[in-house]
Amino acid sequence: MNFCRETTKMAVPPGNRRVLVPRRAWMVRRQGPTPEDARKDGHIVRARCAPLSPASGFPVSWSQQVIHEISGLEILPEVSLGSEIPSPARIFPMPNLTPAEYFAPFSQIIPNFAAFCSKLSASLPVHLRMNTLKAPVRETRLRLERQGIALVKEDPLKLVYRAKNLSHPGHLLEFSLGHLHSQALSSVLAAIVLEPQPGDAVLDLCASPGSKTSLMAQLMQNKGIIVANDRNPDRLIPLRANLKRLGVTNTVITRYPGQHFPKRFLFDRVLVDVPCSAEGTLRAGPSGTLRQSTWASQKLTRLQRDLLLMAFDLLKVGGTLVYSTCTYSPDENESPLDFLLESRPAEIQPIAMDLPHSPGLQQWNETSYDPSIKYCWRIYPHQIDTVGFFMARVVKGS
Amino acid sequence: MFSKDDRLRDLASLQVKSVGMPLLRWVGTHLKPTSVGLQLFGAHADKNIVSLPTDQLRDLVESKEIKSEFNCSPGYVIVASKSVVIGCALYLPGRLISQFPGNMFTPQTWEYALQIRKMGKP
Repeated sequence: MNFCRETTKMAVPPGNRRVLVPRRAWMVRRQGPTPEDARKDGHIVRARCAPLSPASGFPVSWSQQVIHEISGLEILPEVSLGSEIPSPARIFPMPNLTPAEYFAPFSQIIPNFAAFCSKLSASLPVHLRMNTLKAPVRETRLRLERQGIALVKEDPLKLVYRAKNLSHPGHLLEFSLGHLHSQALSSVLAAIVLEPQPGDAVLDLCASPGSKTSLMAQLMQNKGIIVANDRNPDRLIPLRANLKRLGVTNTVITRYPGQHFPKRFLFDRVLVDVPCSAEGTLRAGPSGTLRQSTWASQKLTRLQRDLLLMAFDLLKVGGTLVYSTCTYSPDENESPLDFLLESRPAEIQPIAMDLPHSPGLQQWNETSYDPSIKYCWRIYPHQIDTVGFFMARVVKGS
Repeated sequence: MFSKDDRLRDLASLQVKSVGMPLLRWVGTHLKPTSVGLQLFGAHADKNIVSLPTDQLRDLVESKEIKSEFNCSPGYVIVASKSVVIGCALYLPGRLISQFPGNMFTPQTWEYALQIRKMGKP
């Protein structure tokens, strides 16, 4: 967990207050009430700090509000093994909303809603993907076990392990050397479902920070070609760094808004992991960016639809596309796919994997979807202990 | 370095920001192997390899230089530890100078393994 320590005094305009953010990571909504223990000497400031990712140990992102509002704060990352995750009431961006209250609109579509809400109170597990581009799985596993890290194999591909007594894998020497990568299990599944083969031409339309891109390179044994695209120049930095660290040699990085990617080259497979409201990450603490306003949600849906259509248009006939999000909202999941099916020669195919999940919805808010939407996968944390996820496998017809 | 693929030529018209992985880098008039390149291919080398125990590796990373004699020619060498290639260093007689990228390790890397062992298995 990280904390922000105030190192310089700022001139405080009347009406504003200042806060010393204590040694726990949370998001304090700008307009919401500030927790009591954040007050010190009567001074509080409204702060919004993105925490260190509990999986990688590196800062996830920093809110613009922090940059503009709290200049002079010294951000210190800390190793804090066995750190306590803040209580659920604190980790949500809207204070005083429990998981049941926040997800109440989805209570009819999430199976065993009580178990789902209960699971959100538990901390996110740490999953490690063994990177066979750098070292054999067995060798990396033995090195970790010799250090006292307890590993449990998780997925059918024997690449992913759950580390039971590890909170900051980013501090491991094996992480620095690229022998492993911290990646949510649901994120691994998206790349596996795409089934990239050695020799394929693959596009990752929203690639940063490169977890799925590097996994695809691993599955392709560094053969073929991957185009990893992201629109944000700041996000190309971690993308490039991760691909270098993980020994990926078959990837070209481009910078386009995904919905305007040039149609000069068609791909065998396309992965489009769209920006979303990230509700599936809430369990991990405030590491996702949540769009709260109606306007923001509508803007996202339009963007997601445009990204999906462009990704489909960049496919060869017979090519495969995987659409994925880490949110539960049908407006961001089933709706764009339904639009795709209406406007393109697309076919959603069943996903052949034996893991717990829920099917795609057939209906939401009086809108009925195409029957083949049922082949999509909805993954909830109480079904598979990972970030909540949605994915669909689409094939392009002639 | 990029895996051989004829389709790379077709992508030349795109706004490419990065291709493949850097294997060598110009430093003045010399070519220096990158640490990530050595991690991929260094296991095939049969000379100019400096094998360090963990504590010496830590000293090299933290102090950027260690003073010692090694059985290799002056110039860029491969640094390994416990049979794993770590990266590149520059050997001058009596000195080994780190050429690792500045952000390759976190400050907590060396202490973290000890902490995990103290915590014990769940």
